[in-house]
Amino acid sequence: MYKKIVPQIKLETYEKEVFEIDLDIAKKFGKLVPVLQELLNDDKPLTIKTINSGTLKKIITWCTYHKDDPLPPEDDDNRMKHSTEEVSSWDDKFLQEDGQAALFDLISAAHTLDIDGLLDVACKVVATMIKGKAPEEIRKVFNIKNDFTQQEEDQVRKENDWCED
Amino acid sequence: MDVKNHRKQLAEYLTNKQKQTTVRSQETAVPPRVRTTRVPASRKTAVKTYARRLKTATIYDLPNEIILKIFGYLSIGELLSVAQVCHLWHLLSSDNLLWKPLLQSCVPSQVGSQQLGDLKSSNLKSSFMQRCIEMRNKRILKLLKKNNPYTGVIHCKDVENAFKFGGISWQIVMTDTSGNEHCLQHQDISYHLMSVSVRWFSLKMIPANNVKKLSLYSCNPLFHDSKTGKVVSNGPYQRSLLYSMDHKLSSALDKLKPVGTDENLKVFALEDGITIGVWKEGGEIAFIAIAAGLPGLVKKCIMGTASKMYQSPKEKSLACLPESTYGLYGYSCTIQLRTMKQEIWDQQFTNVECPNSDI
Repeated sequence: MYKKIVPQIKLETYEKEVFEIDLDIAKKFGKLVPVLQELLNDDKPLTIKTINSGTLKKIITWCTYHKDDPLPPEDDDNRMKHSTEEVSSWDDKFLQEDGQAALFDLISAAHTLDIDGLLDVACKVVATMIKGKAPEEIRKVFNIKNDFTQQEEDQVRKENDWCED
Repeated sequence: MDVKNHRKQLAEYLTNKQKQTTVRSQETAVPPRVRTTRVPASRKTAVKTYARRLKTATIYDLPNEIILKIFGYLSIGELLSVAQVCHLWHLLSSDNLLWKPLLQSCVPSQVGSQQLGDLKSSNLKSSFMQRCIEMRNKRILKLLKKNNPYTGVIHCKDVENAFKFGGISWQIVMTDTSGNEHCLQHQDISYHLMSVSVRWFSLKMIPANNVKKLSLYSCNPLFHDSKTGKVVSNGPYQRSLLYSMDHKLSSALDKLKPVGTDENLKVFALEDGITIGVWKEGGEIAFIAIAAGLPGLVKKCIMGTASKMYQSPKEKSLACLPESTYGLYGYSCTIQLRTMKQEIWDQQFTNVECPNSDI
């Protein structure tokens, strides 16, 4: 019997670590797929300095788990419906287990590699961190500096007066 | 294309893509690495380096388009909240990209595209809010169509329905001498034939001497639940200014004689139907009551803004005066202020604010 040869792509991370990724997992990489295909089974890895090993590892785990998911719908109506779907508990746990910094790393990497599905759920997770919070609470959660002067803050509050509960 | 060349370009593209949109101080400090040796994949070191890098990335590292994407999952109320977080978020949360679909969803499709075309360069966020207020007002005013044929006054039941349907509440904002604002939501409201009485009797009222400014607002929720048709009372709302006193409350009270007193309380009647009770001991405000005439009241409540009172072109007088064209030619009214046990104040009015020619 022949052993099935799985085509692989080699990616090198910020830490100079090389990962070999099966093509059927890398097919999640949106617009990059045709480019990556050209590099298929090439000896030298592709270097992506903006992604660290931990993040890439997580990305591979996510893509492997979601390997058989249907592609997101194309037309606008369905896409709208798709976008309001809740994040699955697996995704939610997976994305939050390493803390905020890791999540933001993951989002940046998903953006770079053009992984739509991952980007969607990760952004939804961040959105749920914002939901139902007052401006001051939001600043605390994300460690954002309040760069308004007192006057500006009053002005902005007035503009958005109608939002306060 | 030559694979080697291609790869080089791709690597550059990937590095640039992130650098363009985010500035990572940590990575810019690292000298560019030359790819000469290959490090074998080792999961253990990966975990270690990952742990070292934890806590480095913050929300500031995300490119603006990603922040916009995150904002896209927020409700309107939440979008208004994030606008108050910092300069960048204020700017991003007003992006037309976020508001266009919202605006489109609330205008009929035929007129929609045409009107949206006019709005292309303008601020869609404020147009959207404006549109929501217009639609809500239309729905509320629909409830007030019928007038009483004898007095020309809207039926009190209709007014009550309009207030309840709109989820309208009343708010008093008192600014004290150190500039702090105390907001009090109304605690009691009763509807009468010609007027509405609203009362506040919180125990946490501040001393009357400390009140520098007193404003009365109506709080009008913006949205109705599309399924139940009920008002979303904890969502965004818009405020209309109904009354504002921009000088010290104590100086106004000093000029007035109390209209009623007992061993604990002094009661003052300010202009525009406002009654204030002040504890003799301590001088704190015990209660505030407002009686507002029905004519034009709903419009005043829903069509004003937080800084400007609604001025109807027709109804110049704020008094609850019946229209003279109808059949009422004279009236008298007795007002009594009393507790269960004793009468505090009592006065009869005849033809108040009726010009002689009308009677």
